[in-house]
Amino acid sequence: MSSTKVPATGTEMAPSVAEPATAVPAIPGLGRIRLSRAALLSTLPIYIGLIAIWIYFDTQTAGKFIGARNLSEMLQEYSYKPVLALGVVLVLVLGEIDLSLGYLTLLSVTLTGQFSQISHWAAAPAIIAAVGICTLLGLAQGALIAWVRMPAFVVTLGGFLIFEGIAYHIVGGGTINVFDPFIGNLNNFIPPNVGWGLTIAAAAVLVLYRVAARRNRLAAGLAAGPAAGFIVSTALIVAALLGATALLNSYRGVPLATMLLVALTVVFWFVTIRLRYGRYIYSVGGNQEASRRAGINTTAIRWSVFGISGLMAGIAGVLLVGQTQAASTTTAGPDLLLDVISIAVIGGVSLTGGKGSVWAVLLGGLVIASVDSGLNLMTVDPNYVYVIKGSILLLAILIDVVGKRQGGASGRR
Amino acid sequence: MMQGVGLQERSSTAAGAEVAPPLQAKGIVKNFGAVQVLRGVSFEAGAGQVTALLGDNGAGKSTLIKCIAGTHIPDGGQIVLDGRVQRFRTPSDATHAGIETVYQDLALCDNLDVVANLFLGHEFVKTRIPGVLMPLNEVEMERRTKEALAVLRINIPSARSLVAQLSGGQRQSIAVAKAVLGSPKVVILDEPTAALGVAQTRQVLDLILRLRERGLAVIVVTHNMHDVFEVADRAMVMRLGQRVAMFTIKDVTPEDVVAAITGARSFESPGLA
Repeated sequence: MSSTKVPATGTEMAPSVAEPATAVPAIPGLGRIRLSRAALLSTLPIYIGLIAIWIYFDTQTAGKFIGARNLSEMLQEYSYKPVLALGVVLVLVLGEIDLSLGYLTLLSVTLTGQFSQISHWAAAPAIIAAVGICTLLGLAQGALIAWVRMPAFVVTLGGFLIFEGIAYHIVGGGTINVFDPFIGNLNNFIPPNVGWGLTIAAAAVLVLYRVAARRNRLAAGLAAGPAAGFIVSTALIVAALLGATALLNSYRGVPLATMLLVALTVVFWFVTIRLRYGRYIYSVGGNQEASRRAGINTTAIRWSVFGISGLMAGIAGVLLVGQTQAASTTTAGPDLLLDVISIAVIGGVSLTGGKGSVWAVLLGGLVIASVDSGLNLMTVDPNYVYVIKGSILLLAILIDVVGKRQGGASGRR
Repeated sequence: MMQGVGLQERSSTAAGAEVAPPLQAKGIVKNFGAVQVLRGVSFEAGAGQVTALLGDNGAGKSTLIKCIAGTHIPDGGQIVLDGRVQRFRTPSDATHAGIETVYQDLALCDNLDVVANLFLGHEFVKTRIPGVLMPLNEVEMERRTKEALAVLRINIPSARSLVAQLSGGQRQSIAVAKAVLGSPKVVILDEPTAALGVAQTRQVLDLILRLRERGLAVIVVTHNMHDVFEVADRAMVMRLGQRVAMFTIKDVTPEDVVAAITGARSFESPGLA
């Protein structure tokens, strides 16, 4: 299974397959990113929509929306949702669904409150226990789905009720105030100089990584796309990183939760794109039978992804406790589940499996956070908020379905 | 297990040389309950030969292929590969022994690119921390993919094209390339040209001829008489779970083959082969 060297096939080293001149760097395994009409059609509306949302809220709130303060607080307040959505992306890529996540997150909230405040545990064991239990519960659901072959829809619907019941039992209808300073600090901002240091280090690593990857491809005689495009795209990413840090530092700094979100997204990117394990999540979501025939343990992949989903619910719950410094029945629930599915779908993850990247959570998360924050600033009636968010979810899925129908000419399924 | 791109010339033995054929099936019997689906079928597939497997629906072609590919366990008879008797319990047993099967539409993940599909389950990795951090070696896989595609003269826009973006003929070609990547001795193609257009069928038939040139034993299950006379050296006809004819293609006409399939004429006494 390793890259053992094999003698070249001698006379059979035919000239390489023609590579189009306009080759653009690819996501390995998931194909080339083409600046085609189809690609633009699928992501451009999201960017336009995001700008439209921002302009609309800014005009409706007399300029309060677009500004360092509101954007900082927005990221601080809503970064836990894309964290949870990271797990959802993997579940959706498998072609499955996890309906239990809203209440599993609430369970994490209440467990953290219970361990920290009622049992008086230190922060580390309380957090580890809460996150660990959520991971095990995710694995338990995954076992029923992967090994017993029960439909994920039904298993996680059962989990939905079970976790709700346990969470409500723990807080007993009231609220546990959590005073642990470490957990409270999870809601803090990173000091601006530290934030700059981290951002510049991240930008440097990113540039070095991209340059090294490009060199490797060129050294192996593979197409790597025009140099100008490479320089422009790298410069744009670095500029976005530095710009975001500058904006956030002009208020109180980068929110810790946001930094954690970005770090987790990078880890998820590495796992899904650079490791065999991630490749197999996509292959199982694309064609389970082909994956099985290729010798992949599809059952273990399926099982483990639900464990990751539970893990992310655990982490999101801890972040929520840090934010609200309390655990109550209203901290999280089923509407959180809908929000994170919206985040994934808006970011381009397909509900039918196999398609979408973990970066989806950043774009989708920004859209959902903007809607949350804007409606909150406008003090819209919460009942309307549900209607609006439900409509956004339907719109995102509509785009997914229509996009697939139009893309169906090239694909077979 | 992956010996790299297994496309080196296997042997110089041309079709018909006096060497034991790589694959011999001897008196294969398979029952499903009370129904005897294979009643002692024997045949051999020679290196550098294309053997067509023909027969009407229900003749037992698929069952025979599945017995050889390890999907079914035969109730009687022997499968001999390179002179050694094999007992396959699973499809991967057969793969490890050197028998690759390309089933229609079962082989590829549409959502992955060609490189990822070719190496699925056998990815090259760079060992950073053994067992812990072993990222995929995409550059090496892509290089080998292009090498394999060039050797087999498979034409696709890019090794990084998603399989979903390829034509039917290209997809079938990629499935075949994937099968021969592991250096098998025997390749079984199940209806490789079904549902393909004229030009795409041509691509796949050319690819089959290249597999033959490379000394593989190729077995093609097909309904298409045109394909048989284009690429096959021999054609075995099955009827009601038995072998009813084994033709050398250059000696017969399509009418003979059709007559054997329909049972209009008998060519060899069943069971004695």
